[in-house]
This record gives sequence, structure tokens and C-alpha cells, in this order.
Amino acid sequence: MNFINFSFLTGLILSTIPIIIHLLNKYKKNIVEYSTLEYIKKINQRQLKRIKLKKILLLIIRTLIILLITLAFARPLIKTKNTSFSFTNNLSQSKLSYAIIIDNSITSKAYTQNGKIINISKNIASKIINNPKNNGVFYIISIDNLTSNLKLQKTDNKIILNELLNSIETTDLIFEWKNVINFISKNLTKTLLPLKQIFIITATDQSNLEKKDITTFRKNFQETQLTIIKPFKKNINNVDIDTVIIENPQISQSGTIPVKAIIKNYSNENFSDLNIDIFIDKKRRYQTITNLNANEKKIVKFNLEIKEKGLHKCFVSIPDDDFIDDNKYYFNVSIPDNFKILILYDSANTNFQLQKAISPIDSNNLFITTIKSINNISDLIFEKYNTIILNQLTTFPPYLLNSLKNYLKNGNKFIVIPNITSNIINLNKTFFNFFNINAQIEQIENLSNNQYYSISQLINKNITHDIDNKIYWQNTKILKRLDLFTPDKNITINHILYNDNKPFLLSFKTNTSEILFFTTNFEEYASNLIYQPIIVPFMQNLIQYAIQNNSQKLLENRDIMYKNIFFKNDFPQTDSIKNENTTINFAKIDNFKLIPANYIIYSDNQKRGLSVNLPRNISNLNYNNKIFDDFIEIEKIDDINNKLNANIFSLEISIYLLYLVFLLLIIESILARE
Amino acid sequence: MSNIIKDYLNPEIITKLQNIELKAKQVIEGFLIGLHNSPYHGFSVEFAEHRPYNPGDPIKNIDWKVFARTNKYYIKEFEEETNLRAYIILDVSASMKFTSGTITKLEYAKTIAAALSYLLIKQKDAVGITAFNEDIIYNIPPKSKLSHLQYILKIINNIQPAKKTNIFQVLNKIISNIHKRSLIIFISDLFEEPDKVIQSIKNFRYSKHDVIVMHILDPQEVNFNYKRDTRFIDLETNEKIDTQAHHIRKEYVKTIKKIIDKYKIEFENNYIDYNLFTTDQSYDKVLLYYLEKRKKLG
Repeated sequence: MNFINFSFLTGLILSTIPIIIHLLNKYKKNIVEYSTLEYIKKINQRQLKRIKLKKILLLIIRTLIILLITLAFARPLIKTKNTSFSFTNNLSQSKLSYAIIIDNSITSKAYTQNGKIINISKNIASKIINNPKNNGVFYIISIDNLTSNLKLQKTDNKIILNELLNSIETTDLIFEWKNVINFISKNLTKTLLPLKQIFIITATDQSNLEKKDITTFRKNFQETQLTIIKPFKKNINNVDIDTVIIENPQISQSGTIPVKAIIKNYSNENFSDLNIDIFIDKKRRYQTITNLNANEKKIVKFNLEIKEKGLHKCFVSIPDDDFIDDNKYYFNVSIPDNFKILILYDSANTNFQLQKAISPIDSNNLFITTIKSINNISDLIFEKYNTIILNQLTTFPPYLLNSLKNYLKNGNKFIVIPNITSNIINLNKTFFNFFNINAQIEQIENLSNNQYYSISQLINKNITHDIDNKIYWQNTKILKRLDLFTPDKNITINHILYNDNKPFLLSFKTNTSEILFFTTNFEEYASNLIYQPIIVPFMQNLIQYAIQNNSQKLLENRDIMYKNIFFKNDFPQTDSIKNENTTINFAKIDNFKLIPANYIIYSDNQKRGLSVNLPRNISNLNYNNKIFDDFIEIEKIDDINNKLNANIFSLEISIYLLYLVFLLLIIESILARE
Repeated sequence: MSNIIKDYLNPEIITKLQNIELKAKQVIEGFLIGLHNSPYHGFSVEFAEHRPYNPGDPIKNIDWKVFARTNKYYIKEFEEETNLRAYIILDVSASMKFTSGTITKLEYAKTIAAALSYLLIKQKDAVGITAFNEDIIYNIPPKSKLSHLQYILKIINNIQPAKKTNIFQVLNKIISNIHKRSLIIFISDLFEEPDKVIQSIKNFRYSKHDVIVMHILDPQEVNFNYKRDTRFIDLETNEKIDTQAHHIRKEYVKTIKKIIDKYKIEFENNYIDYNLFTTDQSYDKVLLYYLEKRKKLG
């Protein structure tokens, strides 16, 4: 049974009202101390059975009334073989019209044990046309091979119809059902002869046809029977997707995202013409057909093109009749929005290696950068940007301080890249300016009173570290050094990125904000790091995470550590796409829970990026493929006639339910009055 | 009868009075004021002796026969005793405790008993009272003295409902104690096996007693107007029964009517005066009914 207004079914809860009232009455009695029970007892014995029966009868009737009214509003459709109930029965002797929609999209190219799907579909259509019961005008709808548009052909001549059918060829297109519905709604809602039946011949589990499409069909053709015919039934067992690898899922903004699905046939049976599909946001967007021999493992490649920005929930799907949940592999792709970055510099400094890091030549315009001199801006512009980078500033104008503080208070991020000549005094000054921290200059051994290390000098010293944020420099905790910059205890190091065992980037967390602090300027690394494949995507990711709301969760989560990030010569080669050591905990994204995943950075000198393989058992994604209630599944060609003769069609029975309600109301009032 | 007098006889108003004597007085006086042609005069007084006429004595009391014989005025004086001996037999079983409103059947019955006692003694009749449930609780033999009235009223006032009824056994006991021909006023809800009740009351008749049966019921006992699912608890046995009262109402009313009709017919056939009173009925109907019966007795 199907329902046009499925949501009305929630009203079924109301049917418990009579039961609740009944139960309440049962326990809520009027108590009377009576003079004698002699007569009541005698009468009660006689009447009790009748009263109980009547009570139960009334309860059932009242519950049924509410139940039936709710059902009537939900507008159920039932399958029936009995044509005597048909609304169009009175027209059965006169001429009628029929529509046959033949799905000749790419899926119809597949072969089944009964032959090519398109041929089976045509065979079915032919049987429908030649059925003597179906007397009238036929409309054949399919995709035109030449124009790639939907084509409508109409005739009542069965010989011509068969010729038309033979002329239908497969296409490389996908059947867009929305377009099909619009097309037939436009062309068939006002046919000369009443439209008795629409036949849709499509491989339902491979096509894009969804329940909402069926609902739209029904709304547009209320008095037309709708029959969906699946041209084959094939059992495919023990076929599994081992893994899916997605390249650059987080940073690709446009262009293609290569996806590799590694599928394996665990059975001893050969399968031909397996449909491998990629669903993006519950919609089938890519399809391919492949053969898979017994115990064969195969890599199937897709190139996803996703233009819509934001997070997309995707899955790769293969048919497997045994375990529904086993044949889908879920992953997500995030197409980021453009990020507006304001880079502030001293007028003295005109070297913009940083910009190269953010907007490299081959980037996909992920960031929109605006470069402005610190001396040449108004205090109103900060809020327009997603992040602000203080690039090698030596001074910061006091009149901008309040604006910057407010910007930080609002949870925005900023990145500080110190000047090559930066020293502790300057940095203390910087932090004093930003956080109103009066930093204490600490005497460092072997240095005179007014002599301080620059950051680069610090780095060049023998610094040892471990992963728990404990950094040692000449046996002194570098945290102590960092305290010089950040004596405020609320400012903590969130994470540290190392390069060749040296701190490369520090992330500070304040009460409201996050500061990414590069330990060096990019000049130092310009020659050997900035063009390395890892730096650009890594920086982009860091900046993106710093800006996005999700990033806060990412950075807040202490479980997330960037371990084993490979640089330069350490990159694994293309073939070693998976390295167990690279497993880390992945961050919260959208409403996903913290789930283990593989986080891989690799490069083959041309490609680079982060691959994220989310596990398949994401429970909050429920893609239900079983969306049809009334469709015929053809196992053998010979079945077609039998199945069609069964003449399954849907009938809206609301009116009958309301008649029944009326009848029950009458019975109820009679019983209640007694 | 004016509304004020009606109020005097309204059970709901009377029941608010604490003192039983006051209740009885209230009922009787209210009743008598309203009566136009009082049957109160001219019975239950008999000749006692003659005494010389004094100025001021009513002339109608002069015995003219004596005057004819002796040529002297003598006044005819009447004996204050009466031949009428009335027994009020009052059912005080637990079932009489029932009420659907403000007044229980027992209160109603007690007020009637008190009013009748008051009336009888004021008429110089002798009145006794017997209260019973399973057995006889009080048995006050009839006397006509005014002081006796106080005693009776005190007893009536003290009566509390309890236990089951056993009309058959109790009436048989009572009947054996009444030797002289008497007026038996039987006040009860008669909630017992009707055949047994009829048989035992008939026995009074066989002993040549005049019997008045006042059948007291609560209006709900007659109409059975309960609407919801109801749990009934027997006042006498504490037994419980759950039922949908409105479903059995029709049959219940029919059964009760059948029983009342049976009482009516059976008592009428045996020259026993029977009348049904519901506790919402005004007391004057009861008294009027009694006086009419009493008039017949002469």
C-alpha cells in the first residue's frame, strides 16, 4: 500500500484516544453505597456479557472511525487485480490512451541473463501494445538519440508502434525523471482520449526514479493507473566495495575530483554488466558498467564534478542482493566557499611570498586575497574578511587595535607571520597590543640584557620535542620561551606542526579566538618549501579549517594531531596509497560523529592532497532504495504476459474509507443510544 | 396549603432540625394549620363523669338528659384514655441508611414515626414503638401519657442504622407480644424477599390487627438514575459489584415496579393499607394518608 499524503499517517496516534478513554473509565468509577444489591446482581448477571460485548464493540468502532479517517486523509493507494473497482471502468469498452515510457538511458545498455536491458524493455512494451485488452492510442516516450531530448511518438496503429519500438536505441545519457514528469505532464494531461495507464519500463534499482517522482506522477495523473516495470531480476551476491579513495575532497572547489572505488567479487561466479553508481546527496549522479569475474578485484575510476559549495554526502553503490548495507560505501566531499583573506603588510615590505602560498598558480581560486598596507586602511574593513593575516608587521597602528580586538572577540581568526627581524621584544609588543598582555622579557642564558633570539634563531638552536606539546630548547622547556610571548595562562598551545623536527607552525587558543603562528616567515622557506606540493594544500587546509565553523571543532579536539606529515623526499609514492601509520582521528564535520578514518597525504609529483576515507557504517545516512510499491519485476521474458495480465494498478480508496466511516458512525450512534 | 406551610413539611427543611420533638411538633402543627376540614376532632375520647355547670363552660357540653331528670345543669366530662393502641414498627437496618440526596430513608422514617407518635399521644391514643433490624432493638409498649411521648422521642432519636433486616422473624416475634387488637404502623424499605414480607404482615391481619404499611424508598432506588460506570457497595453486606448503571437501569426500574405492584396487590387483597413514600415527598402526604386510614378505624 502506498500513500499520497504519507505524513498524515502520524494522525494514527489519535486512534488511541478511545482506548485511553476506555482505560480511564475502567479505573475511574463512580462509587455508590447502595441499600441492596439483590436486584442489581440479578440483572447484572444477565446483562454483563451483553454490556461487555457492546463496550468492546463500541471501542473497536470508535477506534476504527479515527483510524479510517486518518487513513482517508493519507490517501492510500492499493494494488488490485479487480478492475471492477476502477474509476475508469466505465470507459473500458471505449477507446482509451496509454503511455509507455521506455528508459533508454545508459543503464539500458547493461546486459542481463535475459539479454540487453533495452531489448527486454522493448519486448515488454511490445507485449503491452499487442495485448488485445489495451485498445486505443499509444504514446511512446524515450530519449531521442540525435537530439538528446525526450521524444513523444503517438499512434494507434500497432504495426507502426512496433516499428517505433524497434527504432529506440540506447543513449549515453541519464534519464532525468523530473524532466520526464514535466514532459509528460505537459503533453499528456489533456489527451483526447482518457489516459488509462502509464507504463514506466526502467531498471528501478539502477535508475534515478524516486518516490517523490512517483508522487508527482500520481498528482498529475490521478485517474490514471501507473505501472512500473522492472525489466529484469538478477541476483548478485557477495560483491563488495573494499575501499573508496577520494582525492582532494576538502579543497577542490571546481574541476574534477578523482574517485577510485576498489570493488571485489568474493564469489565464485562471474558477473557481467554490474552497475556501479555514485550517489551525491541521495541522487544518482554517475554510473558505469563493468564486468567482474570470480574473486576479481578491480579499481573503478570516476571523475566527480561537483559545483555546489558545501558538504556533500556521497556513496558508491554496487548491486548486491544479499546485504543491502554491504553494497554502499559512504564518503563526503566538501566544496569550500571562497574565503576572503586580508593580508596586512608594512609599507616597507613588498615581498609577497605568502600570497603565493595561499594562491598558487594552480589553485582553484579557493581564496580571495586582498593585500593592503597597514597604514592605509580604515578600521571598518576587518569584519568583511574571514581571516586576517598580519604578514611580517613591525608595527601596528594604535587606532586599529580596538577594531582588531572586536574582530577577535567575535570568534574570528588571524594569522601572525613574523618579520624576519622579529625578536622577542617585537613579539611581546605585538601580544601586548592584541591581548593587552604586558609580557615580561625573560633573561635567556648566554644572552646579554638587550639581546634576544629571533624566532629563526630559536629554531636553529638544538630543540628537541615530543608530541605532547613539550618542546625543549637546550634542556629548557620552550613553553617557557613561549610564555614570554603569552604569559596569559588562558592562551595555550593547541597544536604544533613540525618540519624536520623544528616547530613550524604553532596554534594558540585564546578565550575567543584561534591564532595560527608561523615560527618563521616564508622568505626562509621560499626557495625550498613554498613550492613543495604539500605546503600549499596544507596551508590552504589550515587556513580553511581556521576559518570554517567546523574548524573550531577540529582544532579544539585534542585527539587531532598532525602526525607523520611527510615532507619533501618522504612522500609515499603513488602506489602506496595507504599507509597504516597515517591513521589519525578525523574531525567532526557537519553532524557526523567523531569517527576513525584514514588521513593520507601523498604525492606523485603531479598530484597532491588529502584523501579521506570515511567508514561505511554511518548510521545517520539512510539511503533506501526500495521506493516502489507497485511495480512488476520481470524475471523471465515469458513472465511478461502473466504479470501484465494481473493488471496491477493503484486505486485511491479514500472515498470508500469515508463511506465506511459514515456507516460506522451510524452503527456507533445506534449502539451508544441503547 | 401555603408555601410557608409546605416548607414546614418539607423533609429537607425538617431534617435540619436537631431535636426530634421539635421535628415532630413542626410536622404536626404545620400539617394541622394547613388542614381545612380537620379529622382531628371527635374521636378517641369517651364519657367519664358529670360535674356541676360553672358559668363559662361551653353550653354544648351540658347534659340535657340529666337536666331533664334533675333540673340541674351538669357538664359531661370525657375519659382521657383511649381504646386505640398503636404500634409503630420501624425498620432500622443498614439499608435504611441509604440516601441519594440529603435525607436518608431512616431519617425520613424516624421523622414520620416521631410525628405520628406526637399526633397519637396528643389525641390521647396509646402509642408504642418497636425498632428492629435482624432482631428487635427497642420495644416500647404503647401508653398514652404525655411523658411517654418524651420517652418515645428519645428512643427514636437514639436509633442508629445497622445490620441486616429479618422482617419475617422479627414480625413473628412482635406479633406474639401484641394481644389486644391494635393499629400496626409498619415503616420499612421492605428490601427482603417480598413473599416473606407479605406473609409476615398478613399474619398481623389474621390476628385482627389493623395494619398500615409505609414503604419508604429513596427516589434513586425507584428511578436508578446513575450514568457512569458504577461500583455499588451493599450497605448491609459490604458486597461490591461493578456495573454500567445506565445499561441496566431499564430492567432495574422494571423489577422494582414489579415488586411495588406485587406489594400493592397482595396487601390490598388482604385489607392491608399500603403506600409507597419516597424521601423527597412532603410529610403532609404521609400524615394525610395516616389520618384517612385512622378515620376509617373510627
